[in-house]
Amino acid sequence: MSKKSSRARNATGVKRPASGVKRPVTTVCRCEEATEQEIRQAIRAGHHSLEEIKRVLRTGMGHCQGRGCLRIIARIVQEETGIPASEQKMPMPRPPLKPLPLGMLGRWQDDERGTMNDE
Amino acid sequence: MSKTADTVVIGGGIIGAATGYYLAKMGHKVVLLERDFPCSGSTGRCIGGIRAQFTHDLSIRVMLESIRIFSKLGDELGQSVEWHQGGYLFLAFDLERKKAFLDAIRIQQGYGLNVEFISADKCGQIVPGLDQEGLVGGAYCPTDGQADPFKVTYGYLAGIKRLGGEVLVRTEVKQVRVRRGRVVSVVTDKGDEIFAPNILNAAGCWADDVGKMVGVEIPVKADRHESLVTESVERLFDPMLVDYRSDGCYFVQHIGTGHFIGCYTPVPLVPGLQIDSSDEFITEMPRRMVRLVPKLGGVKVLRQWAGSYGMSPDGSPLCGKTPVDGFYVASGMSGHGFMFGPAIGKLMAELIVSGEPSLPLDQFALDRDFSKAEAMK
Repeated sequence: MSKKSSRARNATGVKRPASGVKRPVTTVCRCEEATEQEIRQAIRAGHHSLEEIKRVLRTGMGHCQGRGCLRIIARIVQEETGIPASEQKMPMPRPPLKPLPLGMLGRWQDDERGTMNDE
Repeated sequence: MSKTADTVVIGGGIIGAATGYYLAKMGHKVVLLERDFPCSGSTGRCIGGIRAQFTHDLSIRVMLESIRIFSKLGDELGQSVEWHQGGYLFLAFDLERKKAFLDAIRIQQGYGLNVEFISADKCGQIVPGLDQEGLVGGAYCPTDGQADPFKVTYGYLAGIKRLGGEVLVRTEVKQVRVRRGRVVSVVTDKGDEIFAPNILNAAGCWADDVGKMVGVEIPVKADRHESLVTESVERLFDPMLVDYRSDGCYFVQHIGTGHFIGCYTPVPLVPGLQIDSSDEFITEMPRRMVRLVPKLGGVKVLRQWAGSYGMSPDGSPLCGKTPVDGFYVASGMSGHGFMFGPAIGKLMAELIVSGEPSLPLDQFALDRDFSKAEAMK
């Protein structure tokens, strides 16, 4: 795909509406409600890495921990800066990867010593 | 390329950002250098608690000033920093701890801090859902609080730029040049040389590496501290809860997001700069939180992470001049850099500009006697 045609597409790969059509707001990080426009603004303000964008917009800090948005944001960074998505450093994945209740995690050590107790 | 500045600040965490801002406000041309990106060290990994409940008298006085600054910082920087005066409640589960808190409270009240020892019942009123089993009472200060470390730091950095200073990210200091015992310039990894009569080492856990460039030893050692954050839930209580038992923890609900966020200090400590996550923490921390507030049991953990405390030998900051003229240090914040930041920034700026900070920083000097440790670390 040439650079020009990649620019003509938005982050999800869907062709943008023709000019003159009002573009709807595209939410990229649904958990923290960050839009494509906010992400582009952050990049243009000098926040060039996924880690920095995460710190200013909380992208990837919500329920899905970035599974939904980080790759999309990496593509937006590529469009804005030319840094290939494949060369961008992903934020370190952190446990527990999937949200788990405090009560369940807190019983883990007891459970390992004894039997697993469901609520 | 070469350029000049009145002060070069090394480090884009809270200490460098705040000091740079107050320097710029006092008319200094500031160039701030950050090796990675702002908040990429310890500041961006801290949980945002702010308290004046210390035992070192200078720490109490500096924190009273910091809290005054935090309470107006949103207006000062022209953006919200999510400052919320929710208080800190230190819990006592035995009489020995109660006595230690009473001793601390006497010192703190001497400086005008609004702090008192309250009964277990009163603790339960302030923290609905608190399990009072074995609780003797708590040291409660309603004027302590919380703020957002990213918003505060980025706000200060934006202020530096607004006031005509420069913030250079992804720019590492490779060399600090000294001539006849006085700083001359810093040389960056881009090959640029920045000439300045004042250089501030605000490199946090890495301050000793920067100090070595001019032959000044900065006694800062990193410890790993782990944290976790939960999903956001309805507002349950206001203060930061601190449990000082050997298997205790501390956590707070963020005003802006509704997340619970907390840490504990591991026994034994985990020295070094590694910031990996441990299995022990992700099971122990929830156990300790739920033991204190059982109704948190159903609240889900989103993420655990870790950061480094840059510890000084006695747990109090290292601030002031060094044997090299024009080379200043503000580091070794010992896990309290974010809360100390605004006041330390202002005082360091005063020290650099006029030589006379409005609060003397002698007790935080690099060459002090380190034998008297901070008891409320």
